[in-house]
Amino acid sequence: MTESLEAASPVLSIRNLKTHFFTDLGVVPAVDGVDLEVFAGQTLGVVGESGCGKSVTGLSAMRLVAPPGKIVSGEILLRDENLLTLTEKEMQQRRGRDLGMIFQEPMTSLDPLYPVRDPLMEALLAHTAMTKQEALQESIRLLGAVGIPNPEKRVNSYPHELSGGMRQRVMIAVALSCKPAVLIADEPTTALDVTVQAQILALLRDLQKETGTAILMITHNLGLVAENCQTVAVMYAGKVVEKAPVRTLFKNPRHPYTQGLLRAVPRLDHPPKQPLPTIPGMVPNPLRLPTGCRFRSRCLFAIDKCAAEQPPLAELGGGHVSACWVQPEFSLVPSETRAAS
Amino acid sequence: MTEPLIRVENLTKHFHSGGGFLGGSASTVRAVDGISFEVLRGETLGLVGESGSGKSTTGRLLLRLVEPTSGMAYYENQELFGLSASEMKPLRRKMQIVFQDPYGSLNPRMTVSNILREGLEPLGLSRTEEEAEITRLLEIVGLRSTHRNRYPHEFSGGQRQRIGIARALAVKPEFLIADEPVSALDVSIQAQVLNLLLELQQRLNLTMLFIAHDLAVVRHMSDRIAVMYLGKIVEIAESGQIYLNPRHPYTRSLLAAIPIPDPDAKPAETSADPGAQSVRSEGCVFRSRCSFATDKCAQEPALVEVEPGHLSACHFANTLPSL
Ligand SMILES: Nc1ncnc2c1ncn2[C@@H]1O[C@H](COP(=O)(O)OP(=O)(O)OP(=O)(O)O)[C@@H](O)[C@H]1O
Ligand SMILES: Nc1ncnc2c1ncn2[C@@H]1O[C@H](COP(=O)(O)OP(=O)(O)OP(=O)(O)O)[C@@H](O)[C@H]1O
Ligand SMILES: [Mg+2]
Ligand SMILES: [Mg+2]
Repeated sequence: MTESLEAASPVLSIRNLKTHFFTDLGVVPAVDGVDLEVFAGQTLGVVGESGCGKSVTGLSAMRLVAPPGKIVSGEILLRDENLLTLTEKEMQQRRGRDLGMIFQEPMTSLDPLYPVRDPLMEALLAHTAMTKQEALQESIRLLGAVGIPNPEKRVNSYPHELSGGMRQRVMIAVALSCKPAVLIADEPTTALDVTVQAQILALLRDLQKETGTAILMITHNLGLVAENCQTVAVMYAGKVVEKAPVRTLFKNPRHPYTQGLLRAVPRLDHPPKQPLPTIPGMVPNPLRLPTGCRFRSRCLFAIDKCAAEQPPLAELGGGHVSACWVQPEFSLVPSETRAAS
Repeated sequence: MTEPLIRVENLTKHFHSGGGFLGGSASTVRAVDGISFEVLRGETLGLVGESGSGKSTTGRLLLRLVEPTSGMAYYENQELFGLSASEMKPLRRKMQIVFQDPYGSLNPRMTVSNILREGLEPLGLSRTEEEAEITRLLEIVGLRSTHRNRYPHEFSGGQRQRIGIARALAVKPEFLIADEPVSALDVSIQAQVLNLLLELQQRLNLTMLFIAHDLAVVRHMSDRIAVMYLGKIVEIAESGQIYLNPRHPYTRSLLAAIPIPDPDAKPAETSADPGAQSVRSEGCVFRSRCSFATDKCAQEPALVEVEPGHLSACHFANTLPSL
């Protein structure tokens, strides 16, 4: 299966993307040389430490990074077209129709002054040939499809009248309204209970089957990644540090950061109320990134070479790459010897 | 036997929204619909449930950020809803909330240190003590001391959530309402924040109402768990019991839908018809989605004890097959 995927060409490719923020204190390299590819009908999961640049990567693909942020180099290819060379007007036509995004913060991305039918109808009227009446009917249908009860009534609600999860579903309905070729879903279901979450993911899978949508799914929920993604990229401090087919990533992660993430997940069989394993330390200050590997100060495996030289993404076979000089073996329980040293 | 710090009796909140466009009629949302529960001193009560089932509203009612339609709530033995604003003031310090929406709840025009300073104000610290405390709070939640001069929009979603947590902890509350405190965090920071909350709880005997959707997280944090559906508590029990022996069909469907962080595990179940959910009908609130429902469910089931300390609002609580 993996071979045939690699043979196909990606719908969205992000190549050596650098998006930096030019702040008063200095340059924050939020995204610092990221390569990602998303294929038709497939879901790529992106996980990583809070602040590592996942949302900025997604926003860059939509060309929605606001100043002081700026895409400083790289390519965003939608099939063969480099989106970074388009005019803003051309880009507007791609947004919504070719590229949809579910934003991380539903409250701030819905305008409090307008009822929820407005963003929905606006998207439909801009990108389809629907009449107003048809767009309204379709809006109601979409709200129903994302599991909002009484959609005929709710279509007239204002954002503050909705619970967190309902707002999130409105955003999902907006993003799905024009069946985009690429959907960037930034934490799409964090505010939803697991039964609704399962429904939304089923809806995304149906859309994927129907129209071959390529999904880039940014999430902290490793359960969702395990169930919905074919490939997973792990980011740390502006870089992709590991990428692999989903099963490989969970069973045989080779980057110490990925390994730490997997151990930190609370599992139903963990003893309750006992401390969870964490990754010691903090992400480096983006204004003063260390030499060599950006994870090294928190890494139990670091060797001298890690300070001297930044590890490249090394090929481990089968579509698995990891940026580590050591590439330690993984077990869910950290080894005593390492912990003690 | 520990006594309750918080006691809620028959709490109800109805929102009215006017009719509008397309001649829709005015409607009432029964956001919280007659719930009763206690939170014991030093314990964590987990609150899970459907999106829109009234969890955040319950938290906001306890802090009097919204006023109830009816019902009572007690802090120790003080009834909250009868208090005047000035009587409420000392209690406001003892009760804090970490909001679900970290951006909307942080003033975008204030730097992090001013946001935290606002929280510290009632403690009457000197300027140097305040600065030291701000550094300490930032450290506790895993932010850098130099972050203090930045504005909320300069942070990622997860970093903002940590600012919200630092602000809530600033006044050293006795009772903390954590409304999805970790859903914006990656799992390693989540683990740090959860460990922190557990540690604070032990050290300060903090009492918590912990609202979240991640059932593994809720299980990890809570002594007891209440499950809400459409404004009602449908099940409440010691947390191990909720997971091992759920006695309400909604709780069972929640457990079945947990995504497991293992690609070899069986995928989560999807209950059939999303459009059918949450349609309020006469009788049991869960009836329209329930695969066990019979005619009997046209009568609303009461929340009754099915085993010591374990309550369920289902006519078939005792005969549901085990998981
Ligand atoms: N306007 C801004 N000014 C300065 N820095 C910014 C700005 N916006 C974002 N950043 C920085 O860019 C980095 C990447 O942020 P991003 O929102 O992409 O993180 P993320 O990986 O999505 O995190 P989370 O999981 O918490 O959502 C962060 O370190 C953040 O502080
Ligand atoms: N200010 C308001 N005006 C009108 N309706 C409201 C208001 N606030 C909340 N509601 C309604 O009350 C119900 C409960 O909302 P609440 O925010 O308490 O849900 P929740 O359980 O926290 O959901 P979520 O898990 O999605 O955050 C919802 O139907 C919501 O639409
Ligand atoms: Mg983000
Ligand atoms: Mg809520």
